[in-house]
Amino acid sequence: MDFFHNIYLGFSVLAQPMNFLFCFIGVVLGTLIGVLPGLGPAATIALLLPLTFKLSPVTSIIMIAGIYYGAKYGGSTTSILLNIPGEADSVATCLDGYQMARKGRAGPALGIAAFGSFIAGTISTLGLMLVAPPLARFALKFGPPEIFALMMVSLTLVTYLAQGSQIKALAMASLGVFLGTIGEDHFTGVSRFVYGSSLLGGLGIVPVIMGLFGVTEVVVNLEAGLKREIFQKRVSNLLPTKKDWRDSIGAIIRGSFIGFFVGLLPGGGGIASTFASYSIEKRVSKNPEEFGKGAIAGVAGPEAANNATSTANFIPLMTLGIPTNSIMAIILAALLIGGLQPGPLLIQKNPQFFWGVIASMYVGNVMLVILNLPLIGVWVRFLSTPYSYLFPLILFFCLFGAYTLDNNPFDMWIAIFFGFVGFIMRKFAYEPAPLVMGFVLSGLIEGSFIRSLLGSQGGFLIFFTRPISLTLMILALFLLLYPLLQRKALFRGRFGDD
Amino acid sequence: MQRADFISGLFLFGLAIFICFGALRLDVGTPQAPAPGFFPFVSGLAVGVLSVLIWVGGRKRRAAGNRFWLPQADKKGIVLAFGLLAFYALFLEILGFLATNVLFFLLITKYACHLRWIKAIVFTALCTIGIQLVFKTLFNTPLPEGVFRTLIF
Repeated sequence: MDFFHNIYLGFSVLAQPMNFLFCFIGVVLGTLIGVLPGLGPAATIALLLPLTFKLSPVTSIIMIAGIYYGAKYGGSTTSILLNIPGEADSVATCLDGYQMARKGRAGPALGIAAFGSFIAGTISTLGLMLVAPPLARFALKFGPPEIFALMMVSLTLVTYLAQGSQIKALAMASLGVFLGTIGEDHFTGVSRFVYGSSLLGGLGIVPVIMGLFGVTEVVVNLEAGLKREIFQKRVSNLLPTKKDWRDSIGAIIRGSFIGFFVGLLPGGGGIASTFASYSIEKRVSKNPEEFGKGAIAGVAGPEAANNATSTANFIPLMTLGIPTNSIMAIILAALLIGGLQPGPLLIQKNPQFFWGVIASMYVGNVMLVILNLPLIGVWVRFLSTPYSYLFPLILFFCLFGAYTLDNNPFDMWIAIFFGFVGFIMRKFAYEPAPLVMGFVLSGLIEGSFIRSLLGSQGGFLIFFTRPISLTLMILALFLLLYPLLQRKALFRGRFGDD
Repeated sequence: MQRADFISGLFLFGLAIFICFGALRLDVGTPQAPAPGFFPFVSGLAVGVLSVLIWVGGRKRRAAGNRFWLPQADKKGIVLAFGLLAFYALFLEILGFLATNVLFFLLITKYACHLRWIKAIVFTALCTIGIQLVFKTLFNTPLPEGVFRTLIF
């Protein structure tokens, strides 16, 4: 009975005109930025963070969630038509999507991507409704040591998120944790690392994120020089044929489940799920030789997996307070700005918020199918927007967005500084996501760490004597050492006992 | 040896020393009674240990020979973009929202985007009017008016 009551509650929240409107704005913006070159969802959400101050938390998260999964839809368009993933997670779609476009089948490729994403989005939203509440109930047993241990798991999992060096990712996460301590100490009121500047309130989440994602993205794109050519400018026959459906429905369902379970794991990203789906489809296919040459299942599976992952990513965030990727870290920041603490109590204390966001995901997915199919011509036209018209606006929104938080020019300098730092980081192969995660989680990590120590009179064993905390610490240690063990095993395999 | 890892590892190590010293100055306390510097010290220590690992890893790995800039990089455009960002941060409250926006968009489109004057002027005009409408009229955001307000009134 509770289940239906909660669904009713969610839809009644969404039925409020503002929520419905911002759900629509979110999915339109998401699709647009998924399609537009050089502007990812992380940067867009970062740009819109100041707006969340003026909106209620539920409205802002409905919009942000819409941007997130909308961008996944939009990303497939550039993958199929340009062979350039509009989003990093759409790489697998390029493999067969672009080949389909080359054969004049861009329409069915885009169509199956949209339908596949819709089905996957709906399945994973259902999964979110079923999995999140019991997980949150379990997490209610967590005290400060368990929360600290969980944060350790989260930080070690950051290394799995990193595409490059895991040590560098951990270093960035630690640095992020330190940056989060700048400003007034919540326990003693002492100012830390402020040196007479306006940093007493700490480095703002928004300027840091805007700098690292918004400004850096512009600079990186300026360096790479974005010039793109659309392979197929006119797209027709979007509706897949019966054969197309027969070839892809299995892939869509398998992709949905793969994407959902990968997205549940902290650190589980869209890239992992899309490639897992692609390789499984190739393995189960009767004609594996068609993969890479325009197999529709090679588009349907990864697209479904990608969308399912994006919904499932909300589970660790909302129930445990663990952001699984940089966008989730920004959403965590938006929740904190809205006065909501993600974690076990979120669903219990704010049912309107949780079920409202879930309802928005159902409706948002329907909106996306409606938007993506008839408006595909419009999105294709957006593909040819020159970057030189986009980046001055992005830079403006980064700076002015940072300024409007407190009408403080210092926040603009923080955004510029972190834009520069982000650029240098990319040059030296350091990723910004672990730094943002460490930064956002810093307060929670410090709070739980200090409380645990105070509660145990300074005994570090408190993290290893409670069952849940011990399990999590062992898991964190295992995750930390696993790549090392793997490398050792690989070494032994190659060189034998010699 | 990878030069990039060597340099970045060294930089992070220096940063870690700075963090640890800053934390010690704040007072670290004891595990029984952690002081304000305790947690920054722990995080600084973590950065330090990891920076050494990066440095050691960089020494073991073969040099990749990567250059800092991509061959097609628009270095002037990048420097100019940062310069104009600094200009915006510096002059927003002095010149006011409108004038700073006009100058920012005009200079960035002309010199960083390399648009023709006419295109740059049209783009600047459209952006400035649009932004003014959104922030001033629609959102009623308090905007800095700067020196021109005193000149006009």
